[in-house]
Amino acid sequence: MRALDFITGLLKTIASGMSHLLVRKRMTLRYPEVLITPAPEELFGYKPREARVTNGPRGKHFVDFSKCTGCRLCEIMCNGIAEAIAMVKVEGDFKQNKRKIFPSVDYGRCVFCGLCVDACPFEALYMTQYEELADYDRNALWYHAKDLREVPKELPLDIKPAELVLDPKRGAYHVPKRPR
Amino acid sequence: MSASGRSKASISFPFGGGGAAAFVGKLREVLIKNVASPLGYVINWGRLYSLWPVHLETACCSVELGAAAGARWDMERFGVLEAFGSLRQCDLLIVLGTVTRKMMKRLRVVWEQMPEPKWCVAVGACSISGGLYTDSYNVVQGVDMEIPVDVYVPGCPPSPRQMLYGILLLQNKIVNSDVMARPKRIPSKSEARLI
Repeated sequence: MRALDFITGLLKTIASGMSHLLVRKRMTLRYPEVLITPAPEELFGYKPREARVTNGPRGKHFVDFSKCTGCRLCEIMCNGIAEAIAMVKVEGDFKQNKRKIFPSVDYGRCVFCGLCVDACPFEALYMTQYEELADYDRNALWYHAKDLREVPKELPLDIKPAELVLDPKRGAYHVPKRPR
Repeated sequence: MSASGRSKASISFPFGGGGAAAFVGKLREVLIKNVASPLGYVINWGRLYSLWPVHLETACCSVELGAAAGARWDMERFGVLEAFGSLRQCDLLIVLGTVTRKMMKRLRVVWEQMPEPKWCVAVGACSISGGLYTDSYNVVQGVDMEIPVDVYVPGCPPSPRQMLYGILLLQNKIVNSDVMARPKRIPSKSEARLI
Protein backbone atom coordinates (compact mmCIF):
# COMPACT_ATOMS: atom_id res chain seq x y z
CA MET A 1 0.00 0.00 0.00
CA ARG A 2 2.74 2.40 0.87
CA ALA A 3 4.57 1.58 -2.29
CA LEU A 4 1.41 2.32 -4.27
CA ASP A 5 0.95 5.65 -2.50
CA PHE A 6 4.52 6.52 -3.22
CA ILE A 7 4.14 5.74 -6.91
CA THR A 8 0.87 7.63 -7.30
CA GLY A 9 2.30 10.59 -5.43
CA LEU A 10 5.30 10.60 -7.71
CA LEU A 11 3.14 10.44 -10.82
CA LYS A 12 0.94 13.28 -9.56
CA THR A 13 3.96 15.49 -8.99
CA ILE A 14 5.34 14.76 -12.41
CA ALA A 15 1.94 15.40 -13.99
CA SER A 16 1.53 18.76 -12.25
CA GLY A 17 5.00 19.76 -13.38
CA MET A 18 4.32 18.63 -16.94
CA SER A 19 1.10 20.62 -17.08
CA HIS A 20 3.25 23.73 -17.13
CA LEU A 21 4.47 22.64 -20.52
CA LEU A 22 0.97 22.45 -21.94
CA VAL A 23 -0.86 25.31 -20.26
CA ARG A 24 0.97 28.59 -20.05
CA LYS A 25 1.03 29.61 -16.41
CA ARG A 26 2.95 32.73 -15.79
CA MET A 27 3.68 34.36 -12.51
CA THR A 28 6.28 36.90 -13.45
CA LEU A 29 5.46 40.56 -13.29
CA ARG A 30 7.15 41.95 -16.35
CA TYR A 31 8.44 44.94 -14.49
CA PRO A 32 9.47 47.68 -16.88
CA GLU A 33 6.29 47.20 -18.83
CA VAL A 34 3.72 46.58 -16.12
CA LEU A 35 3.54 47.29 -12.43
CA ILE A 36 0.88 46.63 -9.84
CA THR A 37 -0.08 50.04 -8.56
CA PRO A 38 -2.69 50.73 -5.94
CA ALA A 39 -4.75 53.86 -6.40
CA PRO A 40 -2.51 56.92 -6.59
CA GLU A 41 -4.69 58.74 -4.09
CA GLU A 42 -3.52 56.40 -1.36
CA LEU A 43 -0.65 58.18 0.28
CA PHE A 44 0.85 56.91 3.48
CA GLY A 45 -0.37 59.53 5.92
CA TYR A 46 -1.46 60.01 9.45
CA LYS A 47 -4.50 62.08 10.30
CA PRO A 48 -4.51 62.67 14.05
CA ARG A 49 -7.84 64.44 14.17
CA GLU A 50 -9.68 61.57 12.57
CA ALA A 51 -7.42 59.03 14.30
CA ARG A 52 -6.72 57.32 11.00
CA VAL A 53 -3.68 56.02 9.24
CA THR A 54 -3.88 55.48 5.52
CA ASN A 55 -1.58 52.68 4.67
CA GLY A 56 0.47 52.10 1.62
CA PRO A 57 4.02 51.32 0.55
CA ARG A 58 6.34 54.05 1.65
CA GLY A 59 8.37 55.79 -0.99
CA LYS A 60 9.25 59.32 -1.96
CA HIS A 61 7.94 62.07 0.28
CA PHE A 62 5.38 64.72 -0.58
CA VAL A 63 5.46 68.07 1.19
CA ASP A 64 2.30 70.13 1.17
CA PHE A 65 3.52 73.69 0.85
CA SER A 66 0.21 75.15 1.89
CA LYS A 67 0.26 73.41 5.27
CA CYS A 68 3.88 73.15 6.39
CA THR A 69 4.75 75.79 9.00
CA GLY A 70 8.43 75.07 9.37
CA CYS A 71 8.15 73.76 12.92
CA ARG A 72 11.03 71.30 12.29
CA LEU A 73 9.41 68.42 14.11
CA CYS A 74 10.15 66.08 11.21
CA GLU A 75 13.81 67.03 11.34
CA ILE A 76 13.94 66.58 15.09
CA MET A 77 12.32 63.16 14.79
CA CYS A 78 14.69 62.06 12.10
CA ASN A 79 17.78 63.24 13.96
CA GLY A 80 17.33 60.37 16.35
CA ILE A 81 16.93 57.81 13.60
CA ALA A 82 18.82 58.42 10.40
CA GLU A 83 19.49 62.17 10.07
CA ALA A 84 18.02 62.35 6.62
CA ILE A 85 15.90 65.51 6.84
CA ALA A 86 17.33 68.98 6.72
CA MET A 87 15.36 72.20 6.53
CA VAL A 88 16.04 74.50 3.60
CA LYS A 89 14.98 78.00 2.83
CA VAL A 90 12.60 78.38 -0.09
CA GLU A 91 11.86 81.59 -1.91
CA GLY A 92 8.25 82.64 -1.99
CA ASP A 93 5.45 83.98 0.08
CA PHE A 94 3.84 81.53 2.48
CA LYS A 95 1.26 82.79 4.90
CA GLN A 96 1.70 80.04 7.44
CA ASN A 97 5.47 79.74 7.21
CA LYS A 98 7.17 82.91 8.36
CA ARG A 99 10.67 81.51 8.38
CA LYS A 100 10.17 80.03 4.90
CA ILE A 101 11.82 76.73 5.72
CA PHE A 102 10.70 73.38 4.37
CA PRO A 103 12.05 69.85 4.73
CA SER A 104 14.43 68.34 2.25
CA VAL A 105 15.26 64.65 2.32
CA ASP A 106 18.52 62.82 1.69
CA TYR A 107 17.54 59.45 0.29
CA GLY A 108 21.02 58.10 0.83
CA ARG A 109 20.24 58.08 4.52
CA CYS A 110 16.46 57.75 4.65
CA VAL A 111 15.23 54.43 5.97
CA PHE A 112 11.59 55.01 4.96
CA CYS A 113 10.25 54.40 8.42
CA GLY A 114 7.44 56.97 8.16
CA LEU A 115 7.96 58.46 11.59
CA CYS A 116 8.45 61.93 10.14
CA VAL A 117 4.95 61.61 8.67
CA ASP A 118 3.62 60.70 12.11
CA ALA A 119 5.46 63.57 13.75
CA CYS A 120 3.99 66.29 11.59
CA PRO A 121 1.14 67.95 13.50
CA PHE A 122 -0.20 69.77 10.46
CA GLU A 123 -0.61 66.78 8.10
CA ALA A 124 1.79 68.38 5.68
CA LEU A 125 4.08 65.43 5.04
CA TYR A 126 3.08 62.23 3.24
CA MET A 127 4.82 59.40 1.52
CA THR A 128 3.84 58.42 -1.99
CA GLN A 129 4.39 55.09 -3.67
CA TYR A 130 6.94 56.36 -6.12
CA GLU A 131 10.02 54.26 -5.50
CA GLU A 132 12.22 54.76 -8.52
CA LEU A 133 14.87 56.78 -6.75
CA ALA A 134 18.13 55.10 -7.78
CA ASP A 135 20.87 57.25 -9.23
CA TYR A 136 24.49 57.27 -10.40
CA ASP A 137 25.65 59.93 -8.00
CA ARG A 138 25.36 59.97 -4.25
CA ASN A 139 24.86 63.74 -4.08
CA ALA A 140 21.93 63.59 -6.47
CA LEU A 141 19.98 61.59 -3.91
CA TRP A 142 19.51 64.72 -1.83
CA TYR A 143 16.11 66.06 -2.87
CA HIS A 144 15.44 69.73 -2.25
CA ALA A 145 12.03 70.74 -0.94
CA LYS A 146 11.01 71.99 -4.37
CA ASP A 147 11.45 68.49 -5.80
CA LEU A 148 9.14 67.08 -3.14
CA ARG A 149 6.41 69.54 -3.90
CA GLU A 150 4.42 67.43 -6.32
CA VAL A 151 3.15 63.90 -6.26
CA PRO A 152 4.70 62.22 -9.26
CA LYS A 153 1.89 61.34 -11.61
CA GLU A 154 3.80 59.44 -14.22
CA LEU A 155 6.03 56.49 -13.69
CA PRO A 156 9.36 56.42 -15.51
CA LEU A 157 10.31 53.92 -18.19
CA ASP A 158 6.77 53.88 -19.65
CA ILE A 159 5.50 51.59 -16.94
CA LYS A 160 1.86 50.66 -17.35
CA PRO A 161 -0.25 49.93 -14.27
CA ALA A 162 -1.56 46.40 -13.98
CA GLU A 163 -3.70 44.31 -11.70
CA LEU A 164 -3.33 40.79 -10.46
CA VAL A 165 -5.76 38.08 -11.57
CA LEU A 166 -5.77 34.66 -9.90
CA ASP A 167 -6.96 31.85 -12.09
CA PRO A 168 -6.96 28.27 -10.77
CA LYS A 169 -5.90 26.92 -14.14
CA ARG A 170 -3.56 29.53 -15.41
CA GLY A 171 -2.05 30.61 -12.15
CA ALA A 172 -1.46 34.24 -11.26
CA TYR A 173 -1.04 36.61 -14.13
CA HIS A 174 -1.07 40.33 -14.60
CA VAL A 175 -3.47 42.24 -16.77
CA PRO A 176 -2.82 45.84 -17.76
CA LYS A 177 -5.34 48.09 -16.08
CA ARG A 178 -7.88 49.78 -18.20
CA PRO A 179 -7.67 53.59 -18.00
CA ARG A 180 -10.65 54.98 -16.14
CA MET B 1 51.98 68.13 -30.38
CA SER B 2 53.07 69.45 -33.79
CA ALA B 3 54.94 72.70 -33.62
CA SER B 4 53.08 74.25 -36.54
CA GLY B 5 49.42 73.84 -35.73
CA ARG B 6 48.47 72.55 -39.14
CA SER B 7 47.33 68.97 -38.54
CA LYS B 8 44.69 67.69 -36.18
CA ALA B 9 46.23 64.27 -35.77
CA SER B 10 47.13 63.39 -32.21
CA ILE B 11 49.95 61.21 -33.38
CA SER B 12 53.07 63.25 -33.86
CA PHE B 13 55.50 62.26 -36.53
CA PRO B 14 59.13 62.91 -35.91
CA PHE B 15 59.83 63.35 -39.59
CA GLY B 16 57.02 65.82 -40.25
CA GLY B 17 55.17 65.71 -43.54
CA GLY B 18 51.77 67.38 -43.43
CA GLY B 19 50.24 64.92 -45.86
CA ALA B 20 51.13 61.78 -43.97
CA ALA B 21 49.96 63.10 -40.61
CA ALA B 22 46.65 64.32 -42.01
CA PHE B 23 46.05 61.00 -43.74
CA VAL B 24 46.70 59.00 -40.60
CA GLY B 25 44.43 61.31 -38.64
CA LYS B 26 41.63 60.82 -41.12
CA LEU B 27 42.21 57.10 -41.22
CA ARG B 28 41.99 56.99 -37.45
CA GLU B 29 38.67 58.80 -37.50
CA VAL B 30 37.26 56.53 -40.16
CA LEU B 31 38.36 53.42 -38.31
CA ILE B 32 36.92 54.65 -35.02
CA LYS B 33 33.62 55.48 -36.60
CA ASN B 34 33.16 52.35 -38.67
CA VAL B 35 35.00 49.63 -36.81
CA ALA B 36 35.77 50.54 -33.22
CA SER B 37 32.43 52.11 -32.30
CA PRO B 38 30.21 49.33 -33.61
CA LEU B 39 32.59 46.77 -32.18
CA GLY B 40 32.54 48.57 -28.87
CA TYR B 41 28.76 48.62 -29.01
CA VAL B 42 28.64 44.87 -29.59
CA ILE B 43 31.07 44.22 -26.76
CA ASN B 44 29.06 46.41 -24.39
CA TRP B 45 25.86 44.71 -25.46
CA GLY B 46 27.35 41.36 -24.56
CA ARG B 47 28.49 42.66 -21.19
CA LEU B 48 25.33 44.35 -20.10
CA TYR B 49 22.99 41.46 -20.69
CA SER B 50 25.00 39.01 -18.64
CA LEU B 51 25.92 40.65 -15.37
CA TRP B 52 26.67 37.93 -12.88
CA PRO B 53 26.66 39.01 -9.24
CA VAL B 54 28.87 37.79 -6.45
CA HIS B 55 27.01 36.18 -3.57
CA LEU B 56 28.05 38.71 -1.00
CA GLU B 57 25.23 39.25 1.45
CA THR B 58 26.06 41.08 4.60
CA ALA B 59 22.69 41.99 6.11
CA CYS B 60 18.96 42.36 5.54
CA CYS B 61 18.98 43.73 2.00
CA SER B 62 20.03 40.31 0.77
CA VAL B 63 16.55 38.96 1.44
CA GLU B 64 15.17 41.44 -1.05
CA LEU B 65 17.75 40.29 -3.57
CA GLY B 66 16.48 36.77 -3.02
CA ALA B 67 12.96 38.04 -3.67
CA ALA B 68 14.15 39.80 -6.79
CA ALA B 69 15.53 36.50 -8.04
CA GLY B 70 12.24 34.73 -7.38
CA ALA B 71 9.39 34.02 -9.71
CA ARG B 72 7.44 37.23 -9.40
CA TRP B 73 10.20 39.75 -9.92
CA ASP B 74 12.51 37.81 -12.11
CA MET B 75 16.07 39.03 -12.29
CA GLU B 76 17.07 36.39 -14.79
CA ARG B 77 15.18 38.19 -17.53
CA PHE B 78 17.79 40.90 -17.34
CA GLY B 79 20.65 38.44 -17.48
CA VAL B 80 21.52 38.63 -13.80
CA LEU B 81 21.92 34.95 -12.98
CA GLU B 82 23.12 33.43 -9.78
CA ALA B 83 24.91 30.58 -11.43
CA PHE B 84 28.65 30.62 -11.34
CA GLY B 85 31.54 28.78 -9.78
CA SER B 86 33.60 31.35 -7.99
CA LEU B 87 33.94 35.06 -7.71
CA ARG B 88 36.63 35.16 -10.34
CA GLN B 89 33.92 34.57 -12.91
CA CYS B 90 31.63 37.40 -11.86
CA ASP B 91 31.43 40.96 -13.00
CA LEU B 92 28.97 42.57 -10.66
CA LEU B 93 29.37 43.21 -6.97
CA ILE B 94 26.10 44.04 -5.26
CA VAL B 95 26.84 45.36 -1.81
CA LEU B 96 23.92 44.41 0.38
CA GLY B 97 23.65 45.57 3.92
CA THR B 98 25.69 47.21 6.59
CA VAL B 99 29.43 47.00 6.16
CA THR B 100 31.51 47.10 9.31
CA ARG B 101 35.17 47.93 9.43
CA LYS B 102 36.02 44.29 9.94
CA MET B 103 34.10 43.31 6.83
CA MET B 104 35.38 46.23 4.76
CA LYS B 105 38.86 44.71 4.53
CA ARG B 106 37.41 41.46 3.23
CA LEU B 107 35.09 43.30 0.87
CA ARG B 108 38.05 45.14 -0.57
CA VAL B 109 39.84 41.82 -1.08
CA VAL B 110 36.78 40.43 -2.88
CA TRP B 111 36.61 43.50 -5.11
CA GLU B 112 40.24 43.20 -6.05
CA GLN B 113 39.92 39.54 -6.85
CA MET B 114 37.23 40.15 -9.42
CA PRO B 115 38.64 40.54 -12.91
CA GLU B 116 37.95 43.54 -15.09
CA PRO B 117 35.44 44.68 -16.33
CA LYS B 118 33.48 44.97 -13.16
CA TRP B 119 30.78 47.16 -11.72
CA CYS B 120 29.43 47.80 -8.27
CA VAL B 121 25.91 48.56 -7.11
CA ALA B 122 25.38 49.87 -3.58
CA VAL B 123 22.01 48.70 -2.34
CA GLY B 124 20.33 50.03 0.75
CA ALA B 125 20.87 53.01 2.97
CA CYS B 126 23.62 51.29 4.94
CA SER B 127 25.95 50.85 2.02
CA ILE B 128 25.29 54.28 0.55
CA SER B 129 25.94 56.30 3.65
CA GLY B 130 25.90 54.23 6.80
CA GLY B 131 22.11 54.47 6.94
CA LEU B 132 20.56 53.76 10.29
CA TYR B 133 23.94 53.11 11.86
CA THR B 134 25.60 56.32 10.83
CA ASP B 135 26.77 57.19 14.31
CA SER B 136 28.31 53.83 15.06
CA TYR B 137 31.99 53.51 15.79
CA ASN B 138 32.37 50.39 13.71
CA VAL B 139 30.30 51.01 10.61
CA VAL B 140 31.83 52.32 7.40
CA GLN B 141 29.79 55.33 6.37
CA GLY B 142 29.30 54.49 2.77
CA VAL B 143 31.00 51.76 0.82
CA ASP B 144 32.23 54.27 -1.77
CA MET B 145 35.07 55.20 0.53
CA GLU B 146 36.95 52.15 -0.67
CA ILE B 147 35.12 50.79 -3.70
CA PRO B 148 34.08 52.81 -6.77
CA VAL B 149 30.31 52.54 -6.93
CA ASP B 150 28.36 52.89 -10.16
CA VAL B 151 24.72 52.94 -9.09
CA TYR B 152 23.19 53.78 -5.72
CA VAL B 153 19.82 52.23 -4.89
CA PRO B 154 18.22 53.84 -1.82
CA GLY B 155 15.78 52.09 0.46
CA CYS B 156 15.69 50.17 3.68
CA PRO B 157 15.48 47.59 2.26
CA PRO B 158 14.68 48.60 -1.29
CA SER B 159 11.88 46.55 -2.80
CA PRO B 160 12.78 44.28 -5.72
CA ARG B 161 11.16 46.83 -7.99
CA GLN B 162 13.76 49.41 -7.00
CA MET B 163 16.60 46.95 -7.37
CA LEU B 164 15.49 46.10 -10.87
CA TYR B 165 15.32 49.78 -11.68
CA GLY B 166 18.88 50.11 -10.40
CA ILE B 167 19.99 47.28 -12.65
CA LEU B 168 18.29 48.94 -15.60
CA LEU B 169 20.17 52.15 -14.83
CA LEU B 170 23.42 50.21 -14.72
CA GLN B 171 22.67 48.66 -18.08
CA ASN B 172 22.01 52.11 -19.46
CA LYS B 173 25.37 53.25 -18.14
CA ILE B 174 27.21 50.33 -19.70
CA VAL B 175 25.67 50.87 -23.11
CA ASN B 176 27.00 54.40 -23.15
CA SER B 177 30.41 53.62 -21.74
CA ASP B 178 33.74 53.52 -23.51
CA VAL B 179 35.08 50.03 -24.02
CA MET B 180 38.71 51.03 -23.83
CA ALA B 181 38.42 53.26 -20.78
CA ARG B 182 40.80 52.73 -17.90
CA PRO B 183 39.05 51.55 -14.75
CA LYS B 184 38.76 53.83 -11.75
CA ARG B 185 40.84 52.84 -8.84
CA ILE B 186 40.60 54.00 -5.26
CA PRO B 187 43.72 53.26 -3.22
CA SER B 188 42.91 51.25 -0.15
CA LYS B 189 43.81 52.52 3.28
CA SER B 190 46.92 50.39 3.56
CA GLU B 191 48.20 51.80 0.29
CA ALA B 192 47.24 55.30 1.27
CA ARG B 193 49.58 55.08 4.20
CA LEU B 194 52.45 54.31 1.93
CA ILE B 195 51.83 57.17 -0.48
